[in-house]
Amino acid sequence: MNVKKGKLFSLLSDAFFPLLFAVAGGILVSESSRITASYNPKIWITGPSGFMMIIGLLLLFFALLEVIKFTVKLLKLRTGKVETHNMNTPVIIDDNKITADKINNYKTAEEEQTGNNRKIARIKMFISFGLLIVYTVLVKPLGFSIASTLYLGANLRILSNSWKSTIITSVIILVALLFGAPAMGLSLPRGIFGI
Amino acid sequence: MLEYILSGFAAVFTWQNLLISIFSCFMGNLVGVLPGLGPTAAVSLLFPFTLKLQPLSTILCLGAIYYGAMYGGAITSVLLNIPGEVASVPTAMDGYPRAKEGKAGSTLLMCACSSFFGGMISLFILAFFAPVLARFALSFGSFEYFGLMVFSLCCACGLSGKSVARGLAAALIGVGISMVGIDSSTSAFRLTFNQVKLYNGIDIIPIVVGIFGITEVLQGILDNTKSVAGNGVKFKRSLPTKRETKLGFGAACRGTLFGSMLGILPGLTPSSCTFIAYSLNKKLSVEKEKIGKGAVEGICCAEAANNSSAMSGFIPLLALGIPTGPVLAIVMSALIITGVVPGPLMFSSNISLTGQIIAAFFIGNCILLIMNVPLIKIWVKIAVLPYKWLAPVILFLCMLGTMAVRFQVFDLAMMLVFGILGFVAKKKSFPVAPMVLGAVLGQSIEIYFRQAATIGFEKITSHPISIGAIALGLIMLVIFAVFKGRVDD
Repeated sequence: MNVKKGKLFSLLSDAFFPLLFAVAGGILVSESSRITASYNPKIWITGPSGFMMIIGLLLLFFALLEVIKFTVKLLKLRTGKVETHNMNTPVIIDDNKITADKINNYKTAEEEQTGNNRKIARIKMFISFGLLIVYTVLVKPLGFSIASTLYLGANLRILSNSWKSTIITSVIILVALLFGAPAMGLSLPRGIFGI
Repeated sequence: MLEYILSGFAAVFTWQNLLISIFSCFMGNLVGVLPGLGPTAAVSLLFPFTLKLQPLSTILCLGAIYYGAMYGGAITSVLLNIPGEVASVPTAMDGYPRAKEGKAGSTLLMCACSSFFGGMISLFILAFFAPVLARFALSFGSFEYFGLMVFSLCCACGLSGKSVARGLAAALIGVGISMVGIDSSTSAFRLTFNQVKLYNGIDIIPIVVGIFGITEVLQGILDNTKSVAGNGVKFKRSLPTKRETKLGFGAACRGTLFGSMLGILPGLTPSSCTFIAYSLNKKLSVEKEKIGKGAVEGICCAEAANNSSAMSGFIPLLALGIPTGPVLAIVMSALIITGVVPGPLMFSSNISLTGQIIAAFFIGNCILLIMNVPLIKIWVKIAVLPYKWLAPVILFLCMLGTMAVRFQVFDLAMMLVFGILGFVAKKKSFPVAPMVLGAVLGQSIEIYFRQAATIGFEKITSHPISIGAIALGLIMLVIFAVFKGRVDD
């Protein structure tokens, strides 16, 4: 039963493609219809919406193809004809079959450490990305140079760099931005401090 | 022509010109290394400084900046998986996996040599066949360009992962992205959803930097990467093996051939030419299955095609006065400011100046190679820097590069959106390369499609090149589908 559930999860993951194509195609088709109604060009195909409609319809067609593929897979799964499973899907052992394999699955200390490291890495990645979002929000009010220096410092610390290397890198980047950007004619946001 | 080129060498070979060339090449490298700042940005940023020079020195300077910036894009592509510009995307696809294996040195060397080779062959074509080829390029109309664009999109499916249909759909999504903004011919607001920020459309640089740069860094942090080249990898060998050289040479020849042929066509930028050449090369490669996963053939073809198409762009510029892209438009302005009007006269009454320009390009290309080969040892050190330090710096460079294009915070937000998309795409094996090509070619495809529709599609029968290109594209699709099926089996 659990094996089937695993395969079902893999199939649901496959739904990503039809969903993406359908959403993209749907947006293009609806936008094209809106433009056609507003602009009413003499020859539809040469207007601003004709080509868009074609692309949208093609995407919907590809979405339909993916849905058919997905349905066929699902039907095969129901009738039990699927022999192979996705390599990325974890094989779930049936609860009724407690075997030596399952006993061997107990994690060693090393594996546990790897798991912990992975968890920490995932947290670090999310914080790094979060910092990028915060930076994007603050870059206009604080100015590019200050926001970049703060962002860089924070991210360097989060990724476990020493205080020394964090400060040196941040100062170098700040100086390079303050003098280098104007020299290259880059008009980056200056913010409330004017730098 | 040969005698004019030889006398051109005599005019160019002064120590001032050589110094200018070295300095310009270095500056081009410096700007090109920044993500988002490609040759166009480098030439436009440094263009004002060149105007005080003699006409020949101005051309020499701009040419060297151009080559330098193009090679700079290859450096970040190989070492950090951040294509400085769209044309470097194929280089990143094959170069970065090799850098991860500790082969960054040999990869950069092959990039430099392939670029040099592509540039030199195109220079030869420019010198001896420019007027004839330029006239041929002028015979291309909307139908022909539309056919070529369809062909390019079909070729792009060769860059997709497991499924050709998914590749084609990804390319169409890219075309859809290119439609965002105000329509240039009717001023209709398309896909803007009443957001003023979207009126100017989505720039390609945030898309590329987000999909490739941000995704790679986030994945690197997630994988606890110690350094790009892995922990403890030493660069003992920076020379490619005999087999790699042989494969690379063949691919560089193919890249040069495709790049030179496509580069002369106004409307096809070096980025499009590089993608098309890369896709075609995948079918012709000896190690097809390795393309996109660290193949020498992929790198050499992409770099040769990039440089040769850039150089071929000078054929319509010098012979007809038609710039094929933004960089060449700037070069043309420089020529006009210095009193030289590009056009048919360049190969008759102004032929001595043309000889000097060709000699200047030749020297610029040589200096790029001579200067960068010793620098490879320094560049590869980036690949062994601790990733915990490198990751924030790369992210900062990504943001700087994105901001430097249009100075809009909105572009930063777009970069993040495409960063997330790239990350999800990586997990789901969604083919991003065709999507990027679709976004690059989208506007041109639509323009030529609408022009052809205005003329009337029934007249396509009198345009055999267009029919041939579309038919060839469809055949390529079938070949890719069959070939992929075999690989999957």
